[in-house]
Amino acid sequence: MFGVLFSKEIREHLKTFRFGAALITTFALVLMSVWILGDDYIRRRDNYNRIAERAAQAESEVFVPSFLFPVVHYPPSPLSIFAQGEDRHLGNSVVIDRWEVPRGATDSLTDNVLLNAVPSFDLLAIFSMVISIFGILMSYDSINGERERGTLKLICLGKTSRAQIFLAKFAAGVCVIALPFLISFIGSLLVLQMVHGIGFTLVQWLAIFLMILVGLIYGALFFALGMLCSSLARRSSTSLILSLLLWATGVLLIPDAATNIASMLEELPDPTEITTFEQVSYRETREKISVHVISARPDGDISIMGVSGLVIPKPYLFDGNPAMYRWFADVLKFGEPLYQKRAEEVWQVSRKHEDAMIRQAELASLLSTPAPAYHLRTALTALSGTDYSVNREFIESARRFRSAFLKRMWDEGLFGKNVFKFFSRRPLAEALSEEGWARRYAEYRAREDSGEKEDTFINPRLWGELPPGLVPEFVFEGGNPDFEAASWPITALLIATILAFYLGMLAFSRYDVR
Amino acid sequence: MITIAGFQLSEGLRDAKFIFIATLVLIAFVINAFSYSGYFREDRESFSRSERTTSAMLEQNSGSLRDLSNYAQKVVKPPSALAFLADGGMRKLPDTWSVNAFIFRDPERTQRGNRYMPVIGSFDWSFIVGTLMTLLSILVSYSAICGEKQSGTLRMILSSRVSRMSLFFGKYLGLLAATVIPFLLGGLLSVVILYTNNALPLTEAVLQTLGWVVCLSILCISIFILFGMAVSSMVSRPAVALVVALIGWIAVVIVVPGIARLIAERLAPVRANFEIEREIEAAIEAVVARQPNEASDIPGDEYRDTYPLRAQMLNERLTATQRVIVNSNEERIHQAVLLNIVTHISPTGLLNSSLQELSGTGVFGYETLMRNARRYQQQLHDFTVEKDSTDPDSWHLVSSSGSNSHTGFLSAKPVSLSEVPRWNRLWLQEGLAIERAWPFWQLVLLIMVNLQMAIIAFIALLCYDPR
Repeated sequence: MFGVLFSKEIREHLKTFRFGAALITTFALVLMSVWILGDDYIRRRDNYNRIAERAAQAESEVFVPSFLFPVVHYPPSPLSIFAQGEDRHLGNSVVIDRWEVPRGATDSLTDNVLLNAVPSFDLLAIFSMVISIFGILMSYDSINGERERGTLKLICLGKTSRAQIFLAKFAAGVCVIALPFLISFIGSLLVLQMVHGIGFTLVQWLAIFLMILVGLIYGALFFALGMLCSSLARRSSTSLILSLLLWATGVLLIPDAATNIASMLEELPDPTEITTFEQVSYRETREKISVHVISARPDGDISIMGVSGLVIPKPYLFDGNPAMYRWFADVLKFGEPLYQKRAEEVWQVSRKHEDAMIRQAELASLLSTPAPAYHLRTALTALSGTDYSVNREFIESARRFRSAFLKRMWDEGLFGKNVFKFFSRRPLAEALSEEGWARRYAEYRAREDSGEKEDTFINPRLWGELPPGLVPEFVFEGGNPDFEAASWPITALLIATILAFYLGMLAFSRYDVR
Repeated sequence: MITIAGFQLSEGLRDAKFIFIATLVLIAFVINAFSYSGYFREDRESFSRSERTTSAMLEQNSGSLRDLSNYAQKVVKPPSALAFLADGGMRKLPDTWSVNAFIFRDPERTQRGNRYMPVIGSFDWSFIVGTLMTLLSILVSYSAICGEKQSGTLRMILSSRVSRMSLFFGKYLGLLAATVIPFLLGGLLSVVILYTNNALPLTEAVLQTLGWVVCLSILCISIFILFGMAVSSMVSRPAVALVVALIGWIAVVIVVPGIARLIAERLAPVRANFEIEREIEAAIEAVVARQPNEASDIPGDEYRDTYPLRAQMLNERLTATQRVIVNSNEERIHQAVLLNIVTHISPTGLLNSSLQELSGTGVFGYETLMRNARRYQQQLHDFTVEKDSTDPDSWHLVSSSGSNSHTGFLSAKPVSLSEVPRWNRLWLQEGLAIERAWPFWQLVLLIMVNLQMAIIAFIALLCYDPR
């Protein structure tokens, strides 16, 4: 009997106008979105490749460790085509600075930042708005519509239990929703393969499969909600309004309101604290270094350039002057650790702020728990590797990278006994011997006089290679589908669907079919 | 006609549908008011913070004109009290330029607020009216005609002496009133909350703007009511009417902004960041290559003769760099404006972009900010030239001497801080006095679409078979 009901329901759905409309609309929307965002992804990926290439080249041209400011970044995820997420405005690259602990990233992949203000037209937006509306449109009159037509009485008179009838209707509805959904997804994957030539790895295929599943559960949830409303209200027009209001609340109102309420409930500490601390500590460090070293400057020049900023001056400042050379080494040995310590202190101060921001964001998530759209968003962005946690992890890895990088520099003794190697690649003996210097200087002069344009002192060919392994490898696991983070919202959506189904069935079992 | 309108209105007001809708709209407006007063407070604090920092830093550098003119200040977009109308994605756009007398760098985004908070959407009036209210308009109007037919009342009405014309206008006015009343109430509530939270000064200009916004919004809502009625008069069953109307709504509200982006990106492509960087490098190289080797940056009296050349080179380099930066920004603005224009094909897009224009947010705010930042830089530059010319010790080589600050390119005399042009002063003098063109054409366009829709709906009703 179940089978008969089920196939009858499916046949009826397929014949309706709304199914045709849903099919065509979904297909057109999904295809268009994938087309646009596929193009966008390719542009971003190409930008990323060029930028990464340039950064690697710049790094290879560095000839002394003091000029080394490695850039860490991660490529855009091809799955971002389906859910744009947050990596656009949070950025994906960090310049590692010895004097600053990274707190945020910058985005250099977007060509026009002004377009970031336009809401993204991705699959996530289509699912959360359109699939849910169609779920409701298919189901709002599934029970009371049949009552209005008088067919419900006939079905219920038969031997089938009401639970079976309800289940058959639900199962048929979900299958019917799945149809436009699957067709457009397959179409979009074909577009990506044929037009854009974007391929996916096995893990990414798994993520795509899960995305389809989440979208289906989400559609099923709204279908169940529509059925629930339909079994609660006598008239189909009432159940339509009821379910659309549920939709507006769960899709539009709650997710937005939650972030606003969270920022009202959990106040952030005043960011001035950080900036003030930054400025004050910088000034203090500067003064400490000046006081300590200026008196030792051999030529008596008290201009603090090159001391406070520890700017590495052009080597000719030391030409023929080993005393200056030693002096500068002393400045570095004293100053660099101070600046690095200051960076840690600034980070400790801003960490409080960082934690408060994370607390606020978590409160917002908690408040959005009743909204299905929030769970869909969390699941899809986690699966596409574009959610907030990815960015947080990335900056965390950048911090770890920076510590590792500094540790290697310390291990090499670049701020200690080998400090010369920090700003010079010359053998120490030559640097400190007057004749060596004189020869070097003469060479430099001769080259300049012969009209050689390039600054011979900043020519890597003359300086040899950096100590190998000074820049550690950047390890970042994120940017890939995060199945663990997606599991909770998927479960929540599943539970909500079962609950809505159960409540609907309960309401239907007491429904007056006359 | 009045009777039908009154009947429709009173029926509408008593309907459970209406109560739900009105509650939803009121909640939306309250959320809007509270969140934007919060954002406004945050922005105001951030702006005054940055002004305080700038003051302190200018004070520190006021010991010498050279240091002062080389100090790059952060020029932050002042808070916009009208952002609650349409914020134009203000939490995603760059809002800070680094400016000194010479340098004008690409803008950046101030790290204000909570960057871990998902920016889901803007809860501004443009969203409430353009998305929520238009959806509600469709929900109230889709069954206006065919619903009456299904329940059999349409024949009764038409067989009495009521003409189709008065049925049409009666229905229309009743439905319009039923949607506009919650909107006006909610809007009023929102304005009152913003005002009491000190986030909205009720000056004449603001009231005038609000008047325009209300007109545009009502016209936009009216289009969707007429659309719902037109669909309702074309099909015989309300269920079909609803689906058709909702698809129309999706097309206009969701699809059009998406396509607009595609069209704008195709019609007005912009260069990638790395291309711009490369162009800057090329521009600098070209300038350097033109200069003889003597334009050295080595400090010392024996190079004194080369300094004018060096200053000239530095200035040329800066001009070349800035040309690229300004051009690339113009390019981006052009693309974004084009995108806005393309969205004009949808009434909600039109509403959104005119609201952004009225409240000075989105690309319009960005453009104003950039122009003002340029103007401010010019002021700083003129000030530097003028001050420098009064100092006999200076070599009057006004240029960004960069690391050569120990040379005598520019005057090293102290400057009185009160004379220095300030960003907030410029913004007060000129920023608020920017000519804000009223969206007259947008209004006309909306009225035309209304008329068109009304004609379609009316003709459809005339041809409608009430049986």
